[in-house]
Amino acid sequence: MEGLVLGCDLCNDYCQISCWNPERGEPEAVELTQGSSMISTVICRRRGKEAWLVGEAGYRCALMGEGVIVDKLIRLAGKRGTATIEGVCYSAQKLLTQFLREILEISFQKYGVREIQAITFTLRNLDREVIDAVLEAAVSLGIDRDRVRLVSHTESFLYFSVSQRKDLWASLCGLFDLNEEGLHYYDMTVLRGIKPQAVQARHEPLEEGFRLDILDSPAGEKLGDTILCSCAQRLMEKKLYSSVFLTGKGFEGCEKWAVTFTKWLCSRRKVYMEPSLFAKGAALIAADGLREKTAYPYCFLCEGRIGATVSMEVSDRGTKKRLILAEAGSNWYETRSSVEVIPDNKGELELTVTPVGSAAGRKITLPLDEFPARPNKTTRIEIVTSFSSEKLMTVRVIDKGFGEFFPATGQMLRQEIHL
Amino acid sequence: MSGYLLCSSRLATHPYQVEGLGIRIYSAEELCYYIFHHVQVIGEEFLEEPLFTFLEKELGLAEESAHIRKYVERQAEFSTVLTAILREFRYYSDQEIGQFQGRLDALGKQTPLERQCKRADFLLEKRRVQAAFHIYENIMAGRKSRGSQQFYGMVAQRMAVCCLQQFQYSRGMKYLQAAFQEWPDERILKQLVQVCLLCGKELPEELLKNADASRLYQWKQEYEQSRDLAETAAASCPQAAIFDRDSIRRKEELKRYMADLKKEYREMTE
Repeated sequence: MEGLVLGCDLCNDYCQISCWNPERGEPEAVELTQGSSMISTVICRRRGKEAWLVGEAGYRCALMGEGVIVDKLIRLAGKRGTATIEGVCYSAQKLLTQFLREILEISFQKYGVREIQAITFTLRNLDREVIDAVLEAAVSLGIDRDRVRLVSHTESFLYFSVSQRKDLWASLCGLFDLNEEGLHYYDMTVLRGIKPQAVQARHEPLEEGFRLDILDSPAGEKLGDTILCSCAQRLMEKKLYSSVFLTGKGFEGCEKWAVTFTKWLCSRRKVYMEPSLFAKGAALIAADGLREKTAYPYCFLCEGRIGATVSMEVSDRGTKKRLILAEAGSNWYETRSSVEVIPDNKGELELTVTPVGSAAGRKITLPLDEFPARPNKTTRIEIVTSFSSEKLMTVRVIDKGFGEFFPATGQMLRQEIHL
Repeated sequence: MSGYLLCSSRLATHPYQVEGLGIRIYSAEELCYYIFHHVQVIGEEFLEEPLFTFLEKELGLAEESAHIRKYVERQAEFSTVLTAILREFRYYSDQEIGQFQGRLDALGKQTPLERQCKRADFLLEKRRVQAAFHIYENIMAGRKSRGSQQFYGMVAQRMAVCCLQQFQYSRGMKYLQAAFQEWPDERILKQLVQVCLLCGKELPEELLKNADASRLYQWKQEYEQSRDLAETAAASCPQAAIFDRDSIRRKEELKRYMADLKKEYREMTE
C-alpha cells in the first residue's frame, strides 16, 4: 500500500511534520514555511470569504487587516472552545480540522502523494479532550482511524533515542526543549535486568522557563544562558550521559547566545541540535506500526504508557494460564479489553497489577455478591477494562447470566483502580 | 476446584433449539450444562447435523466440532460421544465428568421402558405436560405385558397428573381409576378422593368399599386444610396486588400476567 507515513508535532505555538523516507530508512522534516520545518499554529480566515490561511501567511493577512486570526488551536480544542469570526461561530474542532487540512496539503504537494498510510500525532500533554479532538479532525479529513496514533512528546523522544546509534543511549540520553510555552527537560534510560528489556523516559517541565522575546537583547540572552546553565547543572550533575539533544525554537542559534550552557553541556558529552525531534520520533512510531515485527523490541515506559500489567488467572479448557487484560508499555487510550469468564466457586473477581520490573503483583478484588445468586458456574461475566490516564484504570463487570437457563440481568459493577 | 473458566466461544446469534423442551442454547458452556442436566431426555437424534452446524457456524468451533464428529463417524456409543463433548470444552471437571459417566451407566442399565418412563417423568417435572403425556400414552399403547401391573398403574397415575395439571379433572379421574385398578395403592386412592372433593363429585361406589372410613376422614381433613392454605396464599400472592393498582397500571400488569400464563400454558402443551 502506497501512502505517506507521517509524524506531526502539534503544539500551541508551532507545528512540525516529518515524513518517513523508506529509501534512507529515516524520517525527514517537511518544510512547512520557507526555510523552516516549523509553522505557527494559527489559522486566519479571510474577511468576506470562506478562505483560510495558516502560519506566517495567516499572520500577514491579519496584519494587513484582510483576515481574522485564531491561535493556540490545541488549547482551544482541548477546551472545546469556539471562535467567532465575522459573526460566524466556528468550533475549535472545525478550526483544528481546517488547520490540519492546510498543513497536510503542503506535504501532499511536496511528495505528490495524497494518501496517508499512517500518521502519528505527538502532543506535549495527552489529555482526553485533546486526543478526541485530534482524532475527530483526522477522521474528518478522511484518514482511517486505524491509521492514526497519538503519543506524548516523551514517547516521541523515546522512539527517537532508540532509533539512534546504541552508543548514544547506552547511558542516559537527555533532551532540553525550549519554546514559547516554556522549558522542558526529558531523559531516557535503559532499565537493565528486566525481560523484555525496558526503556524509560521521564519528563520534567522546568519552572525556570522564560519567554523567548527576552533573547532580543544582550542582557536577556545572558539571563537565558544563566538560567539554562543552572538548570542543566542541577539536573545533570553527577550523572553519566551518552548524549544530549536540544530542540525547540528557543534553541535556534543558541551556540551564539547560550555560550556557557553549550560549553558546559559539550564537556564530556555528545550534544546534538534536532529542531524536529518530536515530529521525527512520531514518524518513527508511525513507520514502526506498519512493520509486522517492531524494530524496537522494548517495553516502553513513559507518559501515555501504562506502567503495570493487569492480569488474571484463568482456566482455558482445563489449562491454567495468565490472561493479560492490559500490558505494561501499551498506550493507555488505545488499551481496552473485553473478556468473558465463568466464575467457578468464586464470589469475587481477582486481578493482579504487576508494575514493570517487579516480580510480585498487587491483588485487587471486586466482590460479585451484588449479582443474583445462582448455582455454581452458571454466571457468565464480561470484564471490560479501559483507562482514563496511564495511572487510572476502570474495570466494569457485567452480568451476562447463563443463556435461558439463568437469564442475564445486565447488572454492572464498576471500580476504578490506581495502578 | 475454584477459578475462572475462560469462555470457549462467542455467544450464538441463532441458538441451537432443543425440540420438545423449548430450550435454546447460545454457547458451548450452555451446551455442556444441557447435556449434564438433561441426559435423561437426550436421544440419538441429538448428534445430528444441526448440532455440528451450530458448533461450526454459530460458535466458530470448527476444530472442536470435527473432533466430536469423528466419534460419531466411528459409530462410538452414544454415551461415549456425550462424554467426549463434555471433555472437549472442559466446562466440567474430571470429577464431575466421572459422576456424569456414572449416571450414564445407570441409565444404560435401565430397560427401554424404564428409560422412556424416566424421560417422561423428567418432562413432567419440567412442566412439559403434553410432551410427557404422549410418552406415557405410547408406553401404554405398546403394552405387551412386559412391565408389571404396578408399573402400568404408575404410568396411568402419571397420565392422570398430566390431565390434572391442565385442569382436565374428569379425564384425570378416569386415569386415576384405571391406575387404581392396575395397582391398588392407597396413595392413588387418596389422590382420587381428593380430586373428587375438588370437583364436588362422589367417590365411585366400587372404590368406597376399598377405603377405611377413618382414612377417608383424614384425607378429607387434609384436603380442607390445603384448600384453606391455598385460599390464604392466593389472597396474598403478588398477582393479587394487581387489583389494588390504578386502572392504567392494573390493565398493563394484567396484560403482562396473562401473557406469562399463556406462555406457561403453551410450554406445557407443546
